[in-house]
Amino acid sequence: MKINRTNYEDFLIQKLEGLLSTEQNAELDLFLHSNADVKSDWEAFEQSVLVPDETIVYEHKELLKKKVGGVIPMYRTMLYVASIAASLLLVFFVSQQYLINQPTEKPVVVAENNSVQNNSAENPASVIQPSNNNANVADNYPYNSQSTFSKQVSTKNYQAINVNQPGTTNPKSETIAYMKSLAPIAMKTYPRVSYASFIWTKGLKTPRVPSRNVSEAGAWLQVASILGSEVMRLTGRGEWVNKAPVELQIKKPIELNIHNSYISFHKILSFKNKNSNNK
Amino acid sequence: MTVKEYNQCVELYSDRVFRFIYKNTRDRDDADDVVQNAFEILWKNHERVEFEKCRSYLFTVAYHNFIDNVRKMKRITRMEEHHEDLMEAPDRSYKGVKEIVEQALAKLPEIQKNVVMLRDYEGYDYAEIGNITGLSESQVKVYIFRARQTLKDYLVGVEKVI
Repeated sequence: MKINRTNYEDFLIQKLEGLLSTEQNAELDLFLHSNADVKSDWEAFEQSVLVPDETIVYEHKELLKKKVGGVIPMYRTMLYVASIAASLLLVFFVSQQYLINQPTEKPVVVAENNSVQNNSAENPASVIQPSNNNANVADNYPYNSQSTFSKQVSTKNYQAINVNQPGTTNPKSETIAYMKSLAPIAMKTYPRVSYASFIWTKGLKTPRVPSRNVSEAGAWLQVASILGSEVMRLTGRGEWVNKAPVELQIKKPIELNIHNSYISFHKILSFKNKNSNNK
Repeated sequence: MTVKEYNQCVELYSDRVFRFIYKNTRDRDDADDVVQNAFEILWKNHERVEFEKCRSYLFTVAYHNFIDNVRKMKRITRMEEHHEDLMEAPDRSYKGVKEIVEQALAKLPEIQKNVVMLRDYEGYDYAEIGNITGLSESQVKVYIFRARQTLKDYLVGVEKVI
């Protein structure tokens, strides 16, 4: 198409857009040269090209940015801790419900008097000790309807010790009441990890880390190994328990504070008779 | 796209997206919202969006967000627009070419304004502008030609007045 005075603007825009061939560019330049009045139109087109205004800036850049490494993936440890917390809450709320409906006359069978007498505050693991070192409490537990063990024992021979008050051998009745309610629930809920006892003391003023006797990390490992193991088994992660150092799994009881109430968990393996230990 | 690359996108393109939207809305708060929303969406999808494509991704999201807002705002008449005759008399003081072009730009139809801004501010080709705006290449070309013609006519007309 030949450039003329009726179509030249279209060619000027094409030139501005970089759409003309070399020949067309040369032809347009010639046209502009021979039509001085049209040249001002070309200048107007050139001036109409938008130039960004660099003074207009977005002022909240920093708010849009994300921290590098700020997103923390859920590592296994966190999963365990979350599992533990969930387990604890489950036990807590179920036990509360159970307590409401449960008579309190049943004996608390957690430790033999003979072994308890040798207890000390330095060895909370032996706070509650079954007479049979290797017995699985789940098998012997008196509340288990399949067991006849409950017929052979009485509260006179068994006693719980409050580890929060070293030296105390006569726990408050409320502690026993809680134990009555919590222990069977725990046995039913976690039969595979064989809990032996729960000690619950109300009214503690200072919230506590898992244990005063075990390092915090070790205590958490303990909690994980005991409470979390069932959750882990259900989620296919139970092998973690076996990989944990044995001494962390079985050495000492777990103590945990929830809203100023205190719970101690004992794994069956930690229930070593002090007398036999001394031998 | 990694977090680092995402942050790089913020550094490189937040001003440009903001400028593009602000020129349309002429409202800083509205433009802020659109930019924030665009980056929020980019962040949600940052693992799927390649760093090389984040600029057009941002402009596409921002453009559609802006269009949605325009549709909503069409139901609302701004007080200033309704009483234009009562507003201050137009400023007849001398303006530079850049300001006149800005004035002309503001008078362009929405779609022409957007395509020509994407072309001049961002240097996108017709196909890329088509992807962002949902237009065909030929439509983009037509709108750009019309916009250029209008801008030039406005510029020439004002110069004659001056």
